[in-house]
This record gives sequence, structure tokens and C-alpha cells, in this order.
Amino acid sequence: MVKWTELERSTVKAIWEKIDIDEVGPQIWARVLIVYPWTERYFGSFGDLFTITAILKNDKVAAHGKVVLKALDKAVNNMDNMKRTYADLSQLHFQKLEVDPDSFRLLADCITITIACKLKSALSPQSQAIWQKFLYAVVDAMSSQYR
Amino acid sequence: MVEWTDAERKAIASLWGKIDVGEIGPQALARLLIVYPWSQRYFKAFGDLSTNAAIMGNPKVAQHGKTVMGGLENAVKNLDNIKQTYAKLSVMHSEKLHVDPDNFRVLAECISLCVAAKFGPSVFTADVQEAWQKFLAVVVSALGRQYH
Repeated sequence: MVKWTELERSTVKAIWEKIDIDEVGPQIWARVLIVYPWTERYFGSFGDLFTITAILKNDKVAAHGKVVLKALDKAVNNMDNMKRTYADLSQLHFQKLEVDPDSFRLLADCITITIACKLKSALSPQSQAIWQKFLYAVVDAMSSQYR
Repeated sequence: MVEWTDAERKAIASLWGKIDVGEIGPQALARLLIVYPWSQRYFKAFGDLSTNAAIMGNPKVAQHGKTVMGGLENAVKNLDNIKQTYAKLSVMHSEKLHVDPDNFRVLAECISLCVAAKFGPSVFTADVQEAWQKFLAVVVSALGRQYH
């Protein structure tokens, strides 16, 4: 189990409180599809993803971004129990959606970049280290049911 | 050979034009040493790296950050020939400095983060991020090329 200090818990919560899911969720998701275009393979039903403009305007992309960020809220509130919290979601992504688990790492990268854009120097090196530790734990939990 | 679209060339050149290597370089290297502390093993000669404050105030870290970031200029000016441009640096990092090539990847992450934090979402848009990270991935690959 991942050990969290008081400072790490409060830092993760402080960063999360500054995030508006409805604002950054769509941005994060658009970045994943644009920066790592092979991830589009999972979203055949989303309609037009052929150009950057199309992705940025796509309602289904925006909606899905919000869904994913809402799920991240679970991790913030269950830091001591992430594997169990994400067991069902991990199973879903493995067996039904057949998502390459490396995609979770790419998503984590885009989440951090988007937060850096928003928070700027408020995301200090120490906060960055703590936030990335948190996201690695989430990625690990999401990969846990893969075998 | 890596293919660059016109949009990507433009995005990389435009972003590079805005970057102050003296500002971003030190920040990126400090973040590397703080966020990935095992990387400190390569910098024993830099003096005090014992706390985050020490790292962020360390002049050798700042100077080296500037040097490394400045080295990206060669890549920006030689987009179609990055492998060749970095061949000697790659050999040096492998044979003389013994740097684990995974460090290039995490340093690239720290650079991207500093750039994102400096310029925000209206400049570091998704398409600019794509071009910039592709550019850094090519540099990382070139630096790891001569390892064996």
C-alpha cells in the first residue's frame, strides 16, 4: 500500500480544489487525443476526430473528459485504498474496453501538463513531485486488474 | 527519418523563440533533481543538493540547466538531422558520464512542464504541445542512440 505523509495528502487536496472538472476535463482529454493520436482508436463512436479543430469542438470528447476527471475525484478521496477503489474500473478497461495500460500513463502526463498551464508557478517542484506520486498510484491502481 | 509537418516546424520555432533558456533551463533541471531524486547521483560535484531549497538556490544547477537547455538550440536548427547533430553528445553521455538514458525522458517531461507553466494554455495549446513533445521525443531518442 502506498504511504502518504500529511503534507502529501494536503498538497494533493489543495491542487485538486483548484481544479474545475468542467473546465479542465475537456482540455485534458483533447490533449490526449491530439498529442498521442493513436489513442483515438478507442473512440470510433465519437464522430469527427480528424482534425485538431474537430477534436477541440467535439462534444463527446468534452463530456468524456468530465467523466474521467470525476473518476479521479474518487482517488483524491480514497488515497489509502486506491487499488480497491479502482478495481472495477480497471477490470472494465482491461476486459471490456481493451485499453492499453500505457494509455493511463499518457493521460497522467496530459493531466499534469494541463494543471501546470493552469497553476503555473504555484505548481512548485515539491508539489509536482507529490502530484506525480499521486498520479503514478492512480495509474498503478488502474493497471492492477490487468494480467 | 522523422517527418515534420509545416505546422509542427512553425510551432517548434515559435515556441523556441519565446523560451528564455536562462529561465527555463535552471527550473527544469531543479525539478528533475527534486521530482526524480535519484538523478542527483550524476551531480555529486555540484555541492549542496540536500534540500529542495538548496537545489533551487544552487548556482551550479542553474548554470548546468542553462547549458542543457541551450543545447536544444542545435536540435531546433537541425530538425531534419537531429540524430547526427547529437551523435557525439550521445557517446559522451554513454561512455564518459554513464547516464541512464531514461533520464533524458524525464528531463524532457520537466522541460515540457516548465514551458506549460510559463506560457499557459493559450500559448501551449494542444497542437503546440504535440509538436513540442514530438520534438523532445526525437531529441531523447537521438541522445540514447549511441548507447550499446
